[in-house]
Amino acid sequence: MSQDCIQLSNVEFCWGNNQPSLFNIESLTLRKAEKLFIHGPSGCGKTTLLNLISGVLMPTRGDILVLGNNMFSQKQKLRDQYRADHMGIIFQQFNLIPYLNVLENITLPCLFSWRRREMLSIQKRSSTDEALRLLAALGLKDKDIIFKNVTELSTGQQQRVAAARALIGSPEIIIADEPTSALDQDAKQGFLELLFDEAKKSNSALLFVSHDLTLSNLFDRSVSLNEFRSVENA
Amino acid sequence: MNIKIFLLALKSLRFRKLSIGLTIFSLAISVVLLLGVDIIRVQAKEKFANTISGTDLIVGSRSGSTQLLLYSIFHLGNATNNVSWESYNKIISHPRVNWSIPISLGDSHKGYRVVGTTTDIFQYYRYSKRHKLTFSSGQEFSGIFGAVLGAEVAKKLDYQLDEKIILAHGMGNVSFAEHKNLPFTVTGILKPTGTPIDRSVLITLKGLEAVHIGWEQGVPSKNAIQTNDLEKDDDRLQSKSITAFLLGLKNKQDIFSIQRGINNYKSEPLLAILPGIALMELWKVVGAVEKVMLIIAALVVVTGLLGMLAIILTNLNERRREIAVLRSVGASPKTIFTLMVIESEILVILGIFLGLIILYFLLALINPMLFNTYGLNIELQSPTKLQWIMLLIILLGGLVAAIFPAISAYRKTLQDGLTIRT
Repeated sequence: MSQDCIQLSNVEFCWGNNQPSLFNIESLTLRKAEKLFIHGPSGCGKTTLLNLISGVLMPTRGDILVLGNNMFSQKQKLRDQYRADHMGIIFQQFNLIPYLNVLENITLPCLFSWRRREMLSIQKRSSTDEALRLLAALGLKDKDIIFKNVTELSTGQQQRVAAARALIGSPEIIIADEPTSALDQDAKQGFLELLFDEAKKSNSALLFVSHDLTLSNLFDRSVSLNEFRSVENA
Repeated sequence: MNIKIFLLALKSLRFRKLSIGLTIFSLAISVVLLLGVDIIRVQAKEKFANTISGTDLIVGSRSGSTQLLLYSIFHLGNATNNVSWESYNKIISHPRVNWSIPISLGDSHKGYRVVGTTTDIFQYYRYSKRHKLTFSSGQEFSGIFGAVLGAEVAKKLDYQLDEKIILAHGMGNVSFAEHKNLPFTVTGILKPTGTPIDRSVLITLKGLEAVHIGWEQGVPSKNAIQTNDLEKDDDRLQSKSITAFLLGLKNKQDIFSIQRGINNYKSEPLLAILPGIALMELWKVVGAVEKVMLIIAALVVVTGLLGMLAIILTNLNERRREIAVLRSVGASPKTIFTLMVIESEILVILGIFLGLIILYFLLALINPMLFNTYGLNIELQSPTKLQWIMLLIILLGGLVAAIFPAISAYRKTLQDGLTIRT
């Protein structure tokens, strides 16, 4: 079993048959429990990269191995299941389902993943307990918050709830797409530290994509997406 | 897995209470309309067919069968000719004839038809699955100048027993020629039947004859009788003709031969019709309205479903972020599709349920009113087979309508991935 969470080799992607390829990634690896920063200014295809890694999009060429499994050879349904089981994803904003309360939002992955439910039962925690623990660890200590409507929360609170959802059931990979861009400078730092702590506790690797280079020194390693841009596009 | 999607769908619908509530309500209204029209249609048809039963033949002077049915049973329009007393007597003395009810029309009382007949009507006339005429008060007439009122006549004109009523010559509310000389006494009031009998004043043939003595020119002459004091066997009271008559035969197998006999009657042109067949012919004319109503109701259902479709499609764009989030936690495009279909089906099912509740509530509410005023008794029964089929079609229609936004959501899901592409 490989030590790598994600391994991309010779990945090329183009939107259509005759379109130029968006990028060409010779090799990109996310190691186990590693904090990797991917720097990418807007419009350089970082969203596409996330879609590829999470198995929503298929690369035009090349291989993507997630925990040793080639996503390319899997069926759509299996890729979706793989994402549910092994990945926690945090978006820039609008992470939460408006008609579910905080608790229901956090435990949503457990709805789709038997594995994440299983992880909770190994840890001998109910999903509610784990949700409360994660929220407290992420700085939301008020217990009543879990029954609140997500629309009542501030942006900062919403991002923490999203982080708790990504972390519940300890998936191996946390993917974060500019999760701090809607937060102010002080909150950014605090949010990241709490995220790091929790990722470390559950032994999850963190793939963090952002255009904000000032954050890069907090990570183990930093890669610029610009390196991968296809010549035609650059 | 699917129960979870179902719960998710429920929560999603609850979140958009107002627009969803209105959609359910509009679906419910269309269900009420469709089933309501169907229930009334079925009941009206039944009531129509039940106007007369147990009668084997209706006989009148030769005209159209619908016309004969209309004037003899529904009291609509007039006879072109009468049946002579001799012919009547000859036909009813046929050995295969069991009973007969003569009907003599022409006069009215405050707009209600006066029917000259005999007490046989109380014994042999049947309506709605062989119900006899029954009295809510009083009894059948015995003397010459007795009158029995239909339920509606007594109610509308607020008549009691022993009331004296005066007949008017001919039809119409305001008649200038009234038989003031010979008032009739109310001896009985009938219970509602839901048939034209409710709007009739039944009197004896002899009484009808008496008021017309001296009226041969249509206006009173000096020969008119001025007193109620007449002998029952007075020769002058013998009817010379009647408008039509109903026949009951001893044996149903004879219906067609007797009918043929009457239609070929030599001394006078007569027509005998089978009430059931004539009613069906008439219903074909009246029934067109029923079909139009049903079509309109069906279109309302289509409108309701289209409204639902419009609302779901409008919401869809707002929900792209939500769908992306669901995708990120592992929902497959198929799951999204299922979610959308389940949501629509919940709407349709709730709409149908609410519709049924409203329908039965309304029926229970208006039923006593309908019965009292129209004698129409709508039974509160569970939906008929046809109505279940209608509901099933609505359900399937909802499924078809649901597929469009679901396909759209499915496509957008694949196109958007985890982020929204605009």
